[in-house]
Amino acid sequence: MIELSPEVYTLIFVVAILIGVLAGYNIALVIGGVGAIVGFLTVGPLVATLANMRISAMLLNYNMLAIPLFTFMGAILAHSGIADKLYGALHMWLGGLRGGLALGTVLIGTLLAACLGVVQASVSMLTVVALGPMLKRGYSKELACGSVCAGGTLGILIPPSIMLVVLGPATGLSVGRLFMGAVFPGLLLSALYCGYIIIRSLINPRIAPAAPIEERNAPILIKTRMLLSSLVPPMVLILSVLGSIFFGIATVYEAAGVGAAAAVLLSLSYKKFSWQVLKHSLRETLRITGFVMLITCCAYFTVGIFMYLRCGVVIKDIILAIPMGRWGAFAAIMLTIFILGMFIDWVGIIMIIAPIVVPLTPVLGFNQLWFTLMICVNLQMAFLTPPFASAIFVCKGTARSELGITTMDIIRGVIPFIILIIVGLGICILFPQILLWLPDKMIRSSW
Amino acid sequence: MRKVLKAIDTITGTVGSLSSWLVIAMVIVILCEVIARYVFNSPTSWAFGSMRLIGGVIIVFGWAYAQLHNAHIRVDIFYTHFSARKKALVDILGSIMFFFPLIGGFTYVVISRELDLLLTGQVLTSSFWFSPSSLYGLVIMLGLTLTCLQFAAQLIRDIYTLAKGRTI
Repeated sequence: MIELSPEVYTLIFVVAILIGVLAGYNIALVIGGVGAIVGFLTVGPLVATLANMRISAMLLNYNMLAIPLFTFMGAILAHSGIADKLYGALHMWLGGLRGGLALGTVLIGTLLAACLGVVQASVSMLTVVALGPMLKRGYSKELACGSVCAGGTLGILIPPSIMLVVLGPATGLSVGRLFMGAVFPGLLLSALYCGYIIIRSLINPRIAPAAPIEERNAPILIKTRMLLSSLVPPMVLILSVLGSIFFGIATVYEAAGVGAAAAVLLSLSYKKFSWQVLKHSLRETLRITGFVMLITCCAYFTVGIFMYLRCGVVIKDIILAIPMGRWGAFAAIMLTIFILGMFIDWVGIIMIIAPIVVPLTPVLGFNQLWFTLMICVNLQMAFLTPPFASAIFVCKGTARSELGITTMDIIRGVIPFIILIIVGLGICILFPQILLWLPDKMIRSSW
Repeated sequence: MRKVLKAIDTITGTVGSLSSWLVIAMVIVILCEVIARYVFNSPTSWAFGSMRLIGGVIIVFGWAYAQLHNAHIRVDIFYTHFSARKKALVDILGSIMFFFPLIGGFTYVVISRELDLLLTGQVLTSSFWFSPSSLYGLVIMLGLTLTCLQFAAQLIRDIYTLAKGRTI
């Protein structure tokens, strides 16, 4: 058995994980494996019991049940044609505005975000439905790609969201309260995106021309019917899932199960449901659940070892030693998460950073819920910042090749939206009530 | 050897596809519970516990299935630029250093514990209906074994690539 100071352990953890991750091996296993090795060398064979306890606890954690269910719901919705209908309707209504299609893309992204909880599904839907028409009408590639990626990324911030589901057990906060807290910051970002698109296309009409009138020439009655028929089904879905959590009718995972059943019904009513879609969605669910939960279990185990070796105290001392008081510490933590977001998947960041940092928030004098939600808003950038940017990968991977989109186009397109997220973070700092108002209005908020 | 590897892939694929239907089972259990609670005003005692067990099973089979489809996340800033041999080397070192000590060790612990429970005929207290630990334990054991097999198959493939410079 080796005994070193906690500072040395912390350094070993950081360096070993960094080397393993950058070498390109499976992140989850690098994190978990380093924990197992360091644990074995320091604690001895007892580490097996610890691994068993921590991993089994995650396997049987009831919050995590929501992950396969929300993923399944998203996969079904992705094939349901819901985005096509919405796009058709919003094209009629907003096509005439300069930048109207980009605006419509962000609005659909926001609406989809409230129906599903994964990034892949919403970004790929928006890419399929919205990217082609925008480019065909002469929108600049940057603006088109940027609005698709940023609008789609809202999918994981606005509840339901598997990110918030993972954050619950990682921080000990109620998933339901996290859900409610994320509603307004999500809408705030959406509003910022819309404002940016409007201003940008007013200044420079060439990048976002109005769609020709003959495309959207329809009697107001038909237009209204299109809008309603495309809006009502998703709205019912949103209200049934989020409403039942808000009013305390169902737990988060129950709401997820009901939502999954509702998504199947919606897909059936749009006549897009088939055996093939079901089988495909189920397999995708298994795959995504597999990789998310491997990171979750491994990180949960390693954080256990990390804390046992008193490395948490080292981190606390470092954070408290940061100059300029609690806001200096806040800025440093946010910057760390931003940088990690460029390289690591969100699950890894949440499962490692949140359990170590969030317990320190009372020491720093921040509200725990607010702080955790700020991490979520910050992580929106993780999906958009290269080299590891899942939204960009999905957009590039889904876009038809004849559109001629390059990764550079997408990267140039998302930069303004990244700046907007930073602005959004600033607004949430100035007005913390944006995050905290709704959770306090919840009925039976202990859920 | 090739046949063995192929067989492992097929087993993981089939078992994975089958186990993915558990998601549907989960949805049905939730609907039952919600209906029993709000329509008949008599919440069930079995739904919550069995859901957690189903969830655990889905996760463990998900691990094997994700490995089969190479869906586990890696950071590939440098990795994509490596040659096939170098990639294989990273994966070999990774699975020997990280996977087998951790998940291999975990599988060993779970199997020895479950066998012990099975032989002494204990029941699970983590569900309200005290299901015999055997069923859940057996399925989890199966899932973990499959995950280990799938990683072992990948290891053999990587060793072959490293030695011969081409895929098996």
